[in-house]
Amino acid sequence: MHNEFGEGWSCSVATVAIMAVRKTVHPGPEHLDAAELVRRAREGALVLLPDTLSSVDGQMVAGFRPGAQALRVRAKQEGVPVEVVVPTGARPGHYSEHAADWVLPLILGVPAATVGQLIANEIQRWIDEWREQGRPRTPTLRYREVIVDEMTRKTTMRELEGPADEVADWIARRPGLEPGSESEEEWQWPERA
Amino acid sequence: MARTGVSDDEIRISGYAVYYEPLRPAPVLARKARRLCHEAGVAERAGDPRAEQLYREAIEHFVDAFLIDRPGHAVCFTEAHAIGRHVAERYGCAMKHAGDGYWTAPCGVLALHRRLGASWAGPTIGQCSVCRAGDLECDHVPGRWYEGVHCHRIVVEAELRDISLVPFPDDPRTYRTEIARTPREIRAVRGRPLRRGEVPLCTHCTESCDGADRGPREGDVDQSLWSAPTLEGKGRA
Repeated sequence: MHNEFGEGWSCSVATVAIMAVRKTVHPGPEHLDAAELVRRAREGALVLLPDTLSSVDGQMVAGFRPGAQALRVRAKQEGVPVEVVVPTGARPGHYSEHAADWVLPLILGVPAATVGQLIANEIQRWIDEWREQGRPRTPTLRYREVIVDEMTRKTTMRELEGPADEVADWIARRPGLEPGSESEEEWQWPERA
Repeated sequence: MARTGVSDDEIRISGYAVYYEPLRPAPVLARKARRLCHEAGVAERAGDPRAEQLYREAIEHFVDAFLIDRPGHAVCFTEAHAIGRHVAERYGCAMKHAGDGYWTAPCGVLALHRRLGASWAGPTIGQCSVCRAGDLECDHVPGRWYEGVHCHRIVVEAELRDISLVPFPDDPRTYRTEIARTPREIRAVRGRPLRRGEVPLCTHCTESCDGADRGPREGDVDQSLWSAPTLEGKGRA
């Protein structure tokens, strides 16, 4: 036996990235039933949607983002009506993939003031936990909402990603914005510094 | 395992994409590590051969505590290296043959210097550790404590779709990526190929890293200092 090899592979360290808020629009997920979404959207509750519908070991699983449970429990504790959409024949599960530091559960519609504040508070709680762990980096957050057109039954998914505190601030302030001030064009901005 | 490049100089990476054991809080892991270290010391003084294994388990617990909470458990970086040095000097740290002349060192200490971990994608079915209810069917929140019981999600079924190497993985234990020493490196360090039956030893804690004496560097603790990662970053930590 010999005694010569050390270890120590690493990358150099130097830069701090400057993050921008990015808004994009995508087609709505195909596994969601538009008719049901229209019905649910009228109820005014916080509606959590699955990211995926796929088979796991022979069982159909509606895959929700891991933060769905915390958001759902917080809503119940604060008296905000909350619903979880699980397609018929499926059971609820998780879906994970690497993206932003935190990907909020997919939600239905534009949140009303109460729901928007609830989501913003949950983001803040998560940011607080992040900082309590001593992490100096600003976490990134992805927020997504599914909009359904009642007439055409067409669904679209709006996505916003950026520094978590900026996203939380925007979600909390948004219900107070002048109606109609938020256009499709705004969501299609490729990037906002 | 990922392979790039050409034969005899390709980069081979292996490691863990997911762990069966739930992620425990860093203070719990650090306490367990210190207990294991104490037990290892007692066993060593008594001539008990289990001492080596206990030391190695202590290292892994210190490593996990640091990876989960770097600023709050920076001392665990130092302690893992200190035990690593003791273990290397007393027992030796044999590298593991990975085939085709490649060798890896399957030790958590190396994860303390890694800038890439594994993040996997796919759907899973889980249960609550407190009440065993299915996903979204109870009011317990993973990460919180309920009458002294730590809630976490137990994955009972999973379907793997892909694995990414990323700077900030969901599970920090996945920084345990093993980057194999290439046959060319083995020859370069030794000046000749290994003889039949020879096994190289890892000397990270005894020679190439002074982590046991100086503790972690700023970049080991502060992840905001990390630049975009590349596999070409073979510089010494």
